Order: sequence, then C-alpha cells, then structure tokens
Amino acid sequence: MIRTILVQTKRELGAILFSPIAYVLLTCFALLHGFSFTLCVEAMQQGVKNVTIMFIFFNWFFFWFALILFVPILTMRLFSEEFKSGTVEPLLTAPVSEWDVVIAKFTAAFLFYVLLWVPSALFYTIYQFLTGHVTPVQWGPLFLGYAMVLLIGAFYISIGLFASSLTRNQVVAAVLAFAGIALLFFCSFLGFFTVNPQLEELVNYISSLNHMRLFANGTFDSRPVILYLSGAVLFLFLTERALAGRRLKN
Amino acid sequence: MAQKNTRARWRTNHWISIGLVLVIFAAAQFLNYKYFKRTNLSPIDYVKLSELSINVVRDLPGPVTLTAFIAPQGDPLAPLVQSDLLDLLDQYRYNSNGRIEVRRIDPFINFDDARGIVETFKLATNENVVIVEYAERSKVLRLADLAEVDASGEMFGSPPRLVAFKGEREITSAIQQLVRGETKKIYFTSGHGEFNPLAPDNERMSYSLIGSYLRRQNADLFRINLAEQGGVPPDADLVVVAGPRSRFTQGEIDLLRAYFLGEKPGKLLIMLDPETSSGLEDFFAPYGLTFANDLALTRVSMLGQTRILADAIGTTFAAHPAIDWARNLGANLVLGACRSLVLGPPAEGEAAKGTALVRTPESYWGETEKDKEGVQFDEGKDTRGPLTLAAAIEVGAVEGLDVDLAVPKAVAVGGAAFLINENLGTMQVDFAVNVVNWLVGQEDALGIAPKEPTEFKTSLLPEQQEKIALLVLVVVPGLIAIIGVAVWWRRRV
Repeated sequence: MIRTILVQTKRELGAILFSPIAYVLLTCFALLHGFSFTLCVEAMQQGVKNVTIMFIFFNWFFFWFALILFVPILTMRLFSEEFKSGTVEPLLTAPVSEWDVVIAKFTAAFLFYVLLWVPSALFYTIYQFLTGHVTPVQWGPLFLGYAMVLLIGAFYISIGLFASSLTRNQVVAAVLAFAGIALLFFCSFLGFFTVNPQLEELVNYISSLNHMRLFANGTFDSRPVILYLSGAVLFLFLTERALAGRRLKN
Repeated sequence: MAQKNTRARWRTNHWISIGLVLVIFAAAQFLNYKYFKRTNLSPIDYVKLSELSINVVRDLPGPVTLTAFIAPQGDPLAPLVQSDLLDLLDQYRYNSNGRIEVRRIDPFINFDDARGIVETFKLATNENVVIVEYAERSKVLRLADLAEVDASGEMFGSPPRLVAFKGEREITSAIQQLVRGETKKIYFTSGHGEFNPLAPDNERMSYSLIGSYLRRQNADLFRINLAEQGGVPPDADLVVVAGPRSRFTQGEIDLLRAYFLGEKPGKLLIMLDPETSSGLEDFFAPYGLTFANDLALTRVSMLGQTRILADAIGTTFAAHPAIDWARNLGANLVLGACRSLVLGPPAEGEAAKGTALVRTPESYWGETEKDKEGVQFDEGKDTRGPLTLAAAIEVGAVEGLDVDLAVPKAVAVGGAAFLINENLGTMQVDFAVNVVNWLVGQEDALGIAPKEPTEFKTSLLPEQQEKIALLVLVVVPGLIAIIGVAVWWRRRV
C-alpha cells in the first residue's frame, strides 16, 4: 500500500510541477511574501517594537490573504480535472483503493504547499547575510510559526481536495474550497463581536488567527494541533467517501 | 434484485460510516478542548507565568473569575497591553485546573454585561479594569496599575511605549488576598471636622466617592475618634487624617505616634489643608518633614491679564512606587488649594528616608500672607518654588536603599479638599489609590517582578534596505519564474 501511495504521489507531484500554474503560483507567492517581508522590515525600522519581525510576518494581512487564496487554486484541479478528462475511471478501476488515491493527491499537494513557503524562510537568511545583523527573530517561535503554517495548510488542503472531489468543474471546486476556508477563517472575527461566552470559547477554539498568534508568540498548545490534524483526516475521509459514492453511482 | 439490495445496503453503510466519523470527530474535539497541554518555547519570560503564580492558582479552594473589562477604543493604554493581558489571563485559566474562569467584556459590544459591571463596581464610563472575584469578595485592578508606559516621546510624534507589565504581580496578589479573605482595614480619623468617606454621596464635602474607589481595592473603611477610643485598633492597616479643621489634642497626637512607631509598623496618610491648624504640622518633624503655613500660588497670564492662581498643580514626580504611574503618564496632577511641605534631613538620632513625591513648577511660591493686598513672592518670608506638595517618609529606612522594608511609612499631602466628590477626577483617584496601595503594601506577590518587554529594532542603512527589497522582490521571484519558463519550454519542445 505504501509503495502504491509513493508511486501515486510521485506521479501527482510530477503533474503539479510540470504544469505552468505551479510556477505562476510559486512566483506570485514569493512575490507576495517578498512584498510582505519588505514591509515588515520597514515596520521594524520605524521604531522600537515589542514583537519580532516574524510575528508581524505571520500575523500580517498578506500572510492570510495568500493562504486563503492560494490553497483553493492549488487544489481545484486535483480531482476535477481527472473527472473532466475521464482519467479518473482507469485510476479507480486500477488495483488501487480510493484511500491510496486520496492520500497520494493530498501528499503531493502538501509537498508543493511546503515548497511555496521555502522562499519566505530564505528571506531571514538573506536579511542576515546582507546586513550582518542577527535577524530579530526567536527560533522557538519561528519553528512554531512554521509548524502552524504546515498544520493550517494540511487542513485547508484537505478541504480543497474534498471540494475538488465534488465537481468536475475546476472553477466550482475553487469557489467551494475558497468558501469553506474563508468561512472557517472569518469565524475568527466573530470572537470580537459575540456576547455569548460559550460561542466565544468555540470561536477561540477554531480561530486560526488566535492559533497563529499563540504559536508565533512561542506558545505551544496541543488543541490546534489535534484540531487541524483531525480536521484534515475528516476531510480526507469525506473525500474518500465522495470517490466511493461516485464509483457506486457508476 | 440481489444487486439492487447490495447497492442499497452499500449506500446505507456509506452514509452510516460518514455519520459515525462525524460523531467521532465531534467527540474528539470535545476531549481535545477539555484535556490539552500547553507549554512555552519562547526564550523570553515575559509571556510565561511564574512558579509563584502557578502555585497560587493550582490549588485554589474555590472558583475565581477574572473579568477583563476593556474598551481599546477609549484608552491609549489599552491597545498596548490588551493582547499581553488576555494572554496572561489565559495562562491563569490554563494553570488553574478549571478553577479560574476568564471573561472578556468590551463595553462597546456587551452592553448589558457592561452596564451590570459598571453599576456593581461603580466604574467610570471610560475605565478599563480587570476584576478579580472570589466568593463574595472582589478587587478591581485598573489597567493603569498593570502597566508602566513611557509617553515621553509623544511630543516628538512617537507613540507611547510599554516599559513594564505588572499584570501578573497585581493579579496574583489580588487572588492571594481574596482567597485568604484579607481586607485592608483603613481608619479615617474623626472629631476634628475631617472629610468623611462614609458620608452619603449627596452630602457636601463628602469623601464617599474616593471611599468607594478604596473599597474596590478590597479595603474596609472605618471612622475612629482617637479621644473616645483611646488609640488606634491593632488591626488597622492604615490611618488617614483627611483635612482636619480643628486641633488634635496632645493626647491624640501621642496615640497617633504610638500607633505609627508601634511594634507593628504604622502607616499614616496625613492630608492637611492650607489655612487650617491641626497640631499635626510638625508630626513628622523628627524625620525631616514639616507642613509649612502657607498657600501655594502662581501667576498666570490670561487674555493679556495676569492673575493669581491658587490651584496647586504637580508637574514633577519622583521615581517612587507611589507615584511612578504619574511620572510615566507625563500628565499634570491638580491638587487644588495646597500648602507646601518642607523636606530636610532627619533630626539627630533618627533614621528616615524622605521623598518629594509631587512638586510644582518653579513659578509657584508658598505665600505666607494670604490676606494682604497684592500678594507676591517676598524673599525671606515666602517659600520659593518649586514647592513640594506631597512627600513620603519611611522611618528607619536607609537613604539610597530601595528595599521595601517593614517600617513605619507615611505620606503627607499639603491639601485634602482635592479628594471631595465635587473635585474628584481620574488623576486624583489614581493618586489616592496608588498612595494607599503603597502604604498598605502588596507584600504577598512582591516576589514577582514587573516584566519588561523585549524590544526589537532594526537600524539598516538605506542601501541595505534596497538590497533586501531587490533580492526578495525581484531576484527570488524572478528565479522561480525563470525555472517555470524553462520547464514549460522543455515540455513544449
């Protein structure tokens, strides 16, 4: 099974990396984060701050904008394209299970997602190399910040994958994924307006903004880790069920 | 038919499995919410709760509620500390084994809850506070007491800066006091026309409002007639003499002194209005402090006319725990009609540390002949400014040593009417509450030092900034784009 998944993952990753959209995404992502990093440096130049450069980076508008917008674009074609081109039929009739296919596609998308973040991690080295200054970061919070980026990414990618498994139209898949991710993300703001303590607790529990602020501050909390991992597993399961349902229909 | 049945069974199983997984997911989230682990990997102890606080909240005998009543829109201090404060409250909750409940109330959003809190705790409409509640007891901590802010850069356009965060020290101390059931007992002297904190709100010259502010600090207020009761009760944490109009007898002065220098070190707050004689003017003379028999005056120019102003305004504040808040705030403190205080060395054989807490600008002088026509500063007769309006005395303390020793402590103020309901403003309340807090002490949590935020700043040359921008905005994205074009070209051919 693992061998099958590895072969499938390689195939999926190859498909992503050989498509022009991958490089458009990578370039835009690097450009957006480059712009964000420049602004962070500018902000730190303005005066004394009580937060690190990476705390600003991880909590800035551009960070969330990129995350919410790019994940649906990354995942929209994963199943929809296969449905549209008809390549899903041979895939599902081959001696591989739905789970193999789902996990392979998810892993490939996730690896590409990791690749998207590599330039941003390079920025700190560039800063240090050019200025000779130790970058105003702290390694514990930096590590936790990137760990949260990966956890949120895994969860959002699984949502995108599920959306893609529901339709043969890539645009519809992207819109569905965007709606789901945006809905979850904007729930974070409900905490500012609710007067109900229970609802506030719930919102705090699922608020990605809160989680990122906490982790980028250097505080590890097991709750978001379990939430995002179990959420990713749930949506992968739903994706598998969607594929199985499609097979049943046929 | 058989195939149809199989398909139907499969469909049922399909939906049951989805339902089951959703239920398992919900149950897992419930358990995840209830049982979790949290740890701090930041090298800065600024965001960590100290062991002392953890020990206090781990074994609480009953539920404690911490309510953050904060409207960031109305207070420049709130945006600076709100995030740290909420993180801190969250840590209290996490370490309390479910004994601490944290509530966050924004009065601009939670109208009903906010109204209830304002009425219960008699808050001003624009006050940002943290309320600590345990059983029937409560303590209100003002945001200004939880943080030290440097506003000195404001005149150059720099925003105020957080210098130290005292939230943990104050909140842990409040929890300790409430759990132990300790209330500070403050006795106000009576029998000489003093201002009365137990008088009704609508009574003229009442001290009822400042009384309610002191009660919010978990203090019980009493009145005491020294002549009738023959001494200060042994449970007194502080005795306040607030603006007596007639003289204390020598016997009463001796009783006060016996309390002050007693086995349990006494704490005194003596506020004497100008143009009154109470017999207490030289009470602190052995320690180098006396009340002058004058009135603080200054000349002000308004609309081309020069007038004499008898409202004493403090503009210079000492580096002292009782008045640090005002120094950090950089605002003026209006104390109304005041006499000046004279600070000098203690008498021979006495050890005492005196600090001029509040001083006027140099333009003030202490007028000794208030009733004569055309008052002006008379060299040799009047006291030259800047005048000392309030001073602290620590008997037995050593000059230059900033250790909070258990010694007799006192604060003398050259006026008392600034605290009556009609004159009371935010600055006056802050002054009184901070002075009382310093006098009665916060010994419990003194082991928790105020936390200084780590400050980050970059100082790059413009060329360095340009290079960074060039690399991260052009070179890195450009390289990726080139790789993309190369891949596309190779696939094409």
